[in-house]
Amino acid sequence: MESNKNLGEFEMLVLAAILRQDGDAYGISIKQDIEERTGRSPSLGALYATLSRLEKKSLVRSRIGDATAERGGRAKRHYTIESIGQKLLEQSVQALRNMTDGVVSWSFAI
Amino acid sequence: MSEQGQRALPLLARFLIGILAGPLYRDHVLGDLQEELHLKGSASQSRLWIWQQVFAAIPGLVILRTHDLDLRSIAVTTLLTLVAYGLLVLLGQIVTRPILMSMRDSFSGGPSWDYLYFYMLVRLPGVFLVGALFALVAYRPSQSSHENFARRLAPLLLVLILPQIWFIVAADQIEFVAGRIIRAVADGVVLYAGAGAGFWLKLRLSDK
Repeated sequence: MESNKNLGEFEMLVLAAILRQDGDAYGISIKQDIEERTGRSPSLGALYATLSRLEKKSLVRSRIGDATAERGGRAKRHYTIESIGQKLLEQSVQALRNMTDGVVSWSFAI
Repeated sequence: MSEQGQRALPLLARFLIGILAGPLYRDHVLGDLQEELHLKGSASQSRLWIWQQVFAAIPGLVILRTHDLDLRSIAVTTLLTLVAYGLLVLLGQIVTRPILMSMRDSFSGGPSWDYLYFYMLVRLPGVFLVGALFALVAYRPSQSSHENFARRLAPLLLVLILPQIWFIVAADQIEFVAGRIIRAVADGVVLYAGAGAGFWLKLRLSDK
């Protein structure tokens, strides 16, 4: 695992959304969280490509959930962030903050 | 619409997403899309919305399926295949041609040179490609290549071989029986080899 490597912007958004949902995160919930908080509307393809990449880097893990009627009987894939993923997310946010301190006015605390 | 008034995803959309997402993610992507459609309710533009989502998802799904592909191995395999094909053509010129020439001169009414060239350079590679594509689409990774051969490829093999038998038996071409048998065996071997290559590729892709 390349723990000293920073994340891409979309990877950071996805990891943050997973972290916020505390084990219940899945495709649509992650997508909606990103939409509500950033105004971006990621495609499901981009989202799953990123989730797959994060899982291969062992930053998140997934488990298959139950099938529901509103999903046409198809199962959810739930994602949970790993501790190394959380650490890398914090490092990446800090790196971004270090780079933008004094240039961009931060209106929130990290 | 389903019984609950829930709009189902169009068949073509399900097919596209299913093919692009692959077996690992197919159900989850389709389930998410179905759930999002359900959350949207029965808006009149939902069909347009579905297709917007499907087309927007395509680039990401292509990346999902290909980001683990070992491009170097694929390039090396392609190069080796081209080299093997070149060697086959060379072998055809140096070895097979004199043998076929000798055989042709031994029988009356043998195949023309045009046909022999067509057979070596177009038909056999074509049969190989058909076998590879067939295995890539129809073979099941959970079964061995022999099981897949017996249950799936055998009918295709019969389709290739039956015309040769028909020519011998029904079309009264009994004098060409040796040539027909050689062609049927060659078709079978090349088809099986092609299916082996396609199955190998399918197993590599399904590992990802």
